[in-house]
Amino acid sequence: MRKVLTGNQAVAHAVLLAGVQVVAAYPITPQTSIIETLAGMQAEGRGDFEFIRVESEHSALSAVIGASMGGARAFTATSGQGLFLMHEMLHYASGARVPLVLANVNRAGAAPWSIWSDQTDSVSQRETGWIQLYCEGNQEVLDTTLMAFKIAESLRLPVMVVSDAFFLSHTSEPVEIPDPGEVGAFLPPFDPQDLWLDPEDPRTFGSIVMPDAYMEFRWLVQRDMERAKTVVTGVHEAFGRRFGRWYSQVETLETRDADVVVLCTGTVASTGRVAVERLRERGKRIGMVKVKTLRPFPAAPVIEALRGKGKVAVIDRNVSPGAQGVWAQEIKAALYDLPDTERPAVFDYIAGLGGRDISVATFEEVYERTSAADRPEDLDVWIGVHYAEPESAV
Amino acid sequence: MRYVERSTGTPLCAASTRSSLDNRTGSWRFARPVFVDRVSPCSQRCPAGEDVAGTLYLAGQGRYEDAWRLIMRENPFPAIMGRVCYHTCERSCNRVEHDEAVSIHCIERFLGDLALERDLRVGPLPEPSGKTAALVGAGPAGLSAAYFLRRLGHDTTVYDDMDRPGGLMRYGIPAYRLPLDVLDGEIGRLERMGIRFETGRTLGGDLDLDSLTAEHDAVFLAIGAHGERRLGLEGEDLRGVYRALGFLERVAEGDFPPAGRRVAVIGGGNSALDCARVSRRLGAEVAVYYRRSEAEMPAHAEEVAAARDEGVSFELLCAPAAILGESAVTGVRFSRMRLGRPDATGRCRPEPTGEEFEAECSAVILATGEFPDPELVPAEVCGPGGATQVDGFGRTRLDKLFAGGDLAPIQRTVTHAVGSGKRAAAAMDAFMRGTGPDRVETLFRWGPEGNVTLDLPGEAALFPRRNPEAQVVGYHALNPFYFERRPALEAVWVPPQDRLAGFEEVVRGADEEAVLREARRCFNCGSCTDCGNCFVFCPDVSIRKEPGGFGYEVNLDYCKGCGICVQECPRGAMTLSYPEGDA
Amino acid sequence: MRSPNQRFDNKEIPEQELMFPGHVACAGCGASLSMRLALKGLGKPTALVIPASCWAIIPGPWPGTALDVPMFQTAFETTGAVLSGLKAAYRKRGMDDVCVVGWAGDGGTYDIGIQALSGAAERNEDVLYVCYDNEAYMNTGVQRSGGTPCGAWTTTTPGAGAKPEPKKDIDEIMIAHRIPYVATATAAYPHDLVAKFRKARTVRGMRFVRLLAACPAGWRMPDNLTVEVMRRAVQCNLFPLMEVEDGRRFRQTVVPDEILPVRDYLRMQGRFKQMTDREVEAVQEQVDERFARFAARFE
Repeated sequence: MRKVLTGNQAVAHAVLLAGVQVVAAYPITPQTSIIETLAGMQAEGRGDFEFIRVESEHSALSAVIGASMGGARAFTATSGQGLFLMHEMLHYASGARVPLVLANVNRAGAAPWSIWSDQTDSVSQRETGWIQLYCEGNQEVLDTTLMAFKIAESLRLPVMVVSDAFFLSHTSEPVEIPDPGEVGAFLPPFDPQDLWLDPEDPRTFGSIVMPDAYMEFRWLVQRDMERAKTVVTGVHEAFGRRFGRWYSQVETLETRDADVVVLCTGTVASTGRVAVERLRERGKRIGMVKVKTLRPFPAAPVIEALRGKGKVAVIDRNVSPGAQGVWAQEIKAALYDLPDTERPAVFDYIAGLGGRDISVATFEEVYERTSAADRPEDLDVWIGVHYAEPESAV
Repeated sequence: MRYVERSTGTPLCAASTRSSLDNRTGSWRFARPVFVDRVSPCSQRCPAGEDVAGTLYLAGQGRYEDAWRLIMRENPFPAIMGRVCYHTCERSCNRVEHDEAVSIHCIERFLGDLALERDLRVGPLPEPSGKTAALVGAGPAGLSAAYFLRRLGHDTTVYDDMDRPGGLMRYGIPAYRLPLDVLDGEIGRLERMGIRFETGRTLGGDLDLDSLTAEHDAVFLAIGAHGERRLGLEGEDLRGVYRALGFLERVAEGDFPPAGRRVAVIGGGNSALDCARVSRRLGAEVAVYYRRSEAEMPAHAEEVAAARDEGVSFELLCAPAAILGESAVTGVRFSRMRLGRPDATGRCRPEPTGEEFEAECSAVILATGEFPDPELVPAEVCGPGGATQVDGFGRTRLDKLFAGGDLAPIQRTVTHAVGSGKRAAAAMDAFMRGTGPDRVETLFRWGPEGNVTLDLPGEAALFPRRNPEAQVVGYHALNPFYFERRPALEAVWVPPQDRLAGFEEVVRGADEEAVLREARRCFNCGSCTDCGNCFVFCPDVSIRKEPGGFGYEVNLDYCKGCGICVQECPRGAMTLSYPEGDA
Repeated sequence: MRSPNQRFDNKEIPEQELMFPGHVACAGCGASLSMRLALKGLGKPTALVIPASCWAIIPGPWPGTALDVPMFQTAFETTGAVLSGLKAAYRKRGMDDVCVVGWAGDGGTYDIGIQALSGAAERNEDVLYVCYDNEAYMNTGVQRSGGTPCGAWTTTTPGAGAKPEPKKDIDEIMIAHRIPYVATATAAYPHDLVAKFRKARTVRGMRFVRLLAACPAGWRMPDNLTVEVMRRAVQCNLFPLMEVEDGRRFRQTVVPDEILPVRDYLRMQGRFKQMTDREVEAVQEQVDERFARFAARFE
């Protein structure tokens, strides 16, 4: 069934289709309409899930961790400050191996305050052991949210589905809503196996672990993150076969003969498709790589897409102050072991922070500046920043 | 407990795979709680060595027959004791410091009466030892010794010069204090045990100590102290002047001596008061004259109070100078006394003030003390004042001869006599079996008073004690929080005006509900009663039920030695031990 | 075990153990005794949620545990939230008979955990929240918490005039939430404690029970006096044993035979050693005033 949905509404539909049993969430712009939609669905009798209207995001994630430990399929959503507040419990969830799904609407972090699109919130959670999947459009949002449950429950690692503030969350697009029966076949009910608080089999979960045993638990997370690379691909393929919509962790567009490959994520990729078309019309040999997964970082397909290219220009809608944009760092790390002759130069462009627009013109500027230089001008180049030195009293 | 080793290797998350039973925290310990069975002060004070704490525990559980059996291990006369014993146990009861002493004697009386009512018998007798013992004197000492010797398997014969057995219990204590059916009932039980009685046999008459010694393997001399001192007063032999024991003996035989209108009783002991109260019942006005003050009267305060209630008046600090009258008594002249310096016993010596007065009376009863008849005791073992020289177990220096009761230098109460007979029975048993004197010393003793518990064969432990210690438990060793303050059971006395009509018992027995409640006031000092406090309060789940079912044991694999159990034991039945090295 | 000649008959205490020995609590730990007795009152099926606190460590390190009920250890501030989620899951899965119990210390309740607790209470979650109150952050070595009483020594309030602020009145706070059941209990009165847990299990909606759990190590006293000191707290009206239903119906469940002066309680503990007589008098006034406020409401 096709409907015009905002990204947030798409999330809500996916949650319903997935047969989520417990939702706990706290309102924060621009995530709020996810939970409002869910509340409305419940009030209409369309959703048979427990909805805990918690008193903070930290409690939201804690509550769904508790729910998952009770053997239920659980979900939460947040954005920006809320994700920051959840930080402690993000670590906790992955260490406890609870298969949660969290929808994060990428929002800039305070200070100063901003409610607009920015990836700083989710990329700051790279170390937390969550699988992170970035979406380009509302259909991808709905589909990825469904796939997230399957991925999470196969690996017993939590999955974050990331969408851009306002560009997706509050923008309406036509979205195909899958048939519930098909979804049911794709995603059977959650089976916690023996990792839940079973009154018939009393065990203690989460006791302190001495130095001689702790590393093994962390190794298992790493091991399963490694497996996740294959699982994510496999689930995407299974989804494609059943629903006819295909996604991949790394997608290339016109890169074969490109002299500058622009690497982007989220809605920037959507703009990128238009930019590639326009610039190609004017004879510019621009290509685009869209990366969907931040964790586990899809090194192999990234290397495959970029080896032998002369220049890669990464558009980072985030920055790690004191270093550079996070995607650029990840790309460079992935490309490091390539022989010199095959390793492209990586140019990092910081753009769009706090919701500032990334347009076709941005892509043009990125292309021109990258083409003009043999090597990057700087570790990171900030696009469209107007900074004026204050006048001194003297 | 379900824990078994699960998978080897690391689970996906830190889910437990074993229980903490692997961690034997007993290694943390430097002190160890120990269950001990200590002596309660009541048991320690009991002249007969009764296990008071144990008896009261059983009674408090409603196990009256078991409670009675436990008494019978130590004392054959609970119904009598509950009436005539002066219950020193109650004075030393730790409950005194809490609210009021437990009315132990009321409970003992109830149990004794119940046993009479139900015609209970003691357990089966052991195999005959082939030995025979003679007991001379059927008073409480002789009967007690006979009872224990019989329970130890010996053939026993009790000889007495009176028509019926009982000694002073029958012929000295009036029926209103000790009804005859009770006395006959408890003595009758002894007869049914196969103890032989030969009454109307007089030592020094048709009974001869040498023959007895030859015929039997051991002889116990317990003929009491019946000699009554002459005061050397003018008029001492007038008609109407009686000696206390003689007077009471005639009353017991139903031959009431004529007392007339007014009786003067001279003396301050229990016999004096018995005589006074009997005289009241014979219809006389009675006054008791004592040469010291009331505080020094040897008579029990209860007796004094009862006598007063019954209309006996007391004249203190006066001693008889002469008994007046021609052929019969008409009065007594008294010297007023004052208290001088203390004598050897610590009591103030009375000194005449010089003042005198006369009192009219139609009878005088002299109750100034009794002594054993030295003629009847072999010279070799005769001590000062006619008392027999014995050790703590009634052994004399003569082969086969033992002595006890009022003949020996013990306190002159029925209970002390019973204790004396029991200790002698222990010694006689060891002597007759040839197990030597040391065996007697190893019997479990109730504290420093020196009473013993005999190892009676065929007796199942009614109240088990696993780890006895001689230490007496004082109030400070208890945890009194666990005991709510409640008043004691008060014995119900017949109103004084109703008592004098006859010789009916003046103290009524308590009903079962009251007795049960009172028995439950007993702290059971020093004895584990399986209350479970130690179990409840152990933070380490390290106190578990004793395999035998009664009481608890410490799980030394895990006990950390915090000592909470010892602190919360209500009755001082635990201690914290600090052993060197391995705790 | 029967004790008809004592104040409480111990035959009312269930004999089943839901806790194993071999746990690593200090000798004489009031909190471990409290858990043992609480579990006897609760029985099965029960699931526990325990945040950072002594009781996170007491079961022992992985892979062992001292508990015979399922337990989830969670982050310090989250007890109220995790309880909410866990109960929702059991309810969804048709396992509504599982009693979901949080077991948090005073730090995790009064301070860092108060938000999640208040949130759960405001939502009237169908869970039982137990605060075992040893009046400081004991697990980290005796630091002051919002539950530390006036004048108590801790490592972060070591001087004279230490901790002048009164103890936060968490009982009143929870009563103000008007939840179905608020109660106080302590292991020195085991029958009262067990009865309250039995009852709490059957109440629907949010339940809060605060247990005074003496810590001999942190309170600076010999480890055999744990029960005695908890008892004295009750006997001087510093810790009245009570139940409050729906924030409106108040009942004192144990009335001490005699009321002791609070000095008898304070002087047992080394942590109050530095208090002057004047300060002790001030505590007596505070105790009397607080008790009077409750007594006025007892039915």
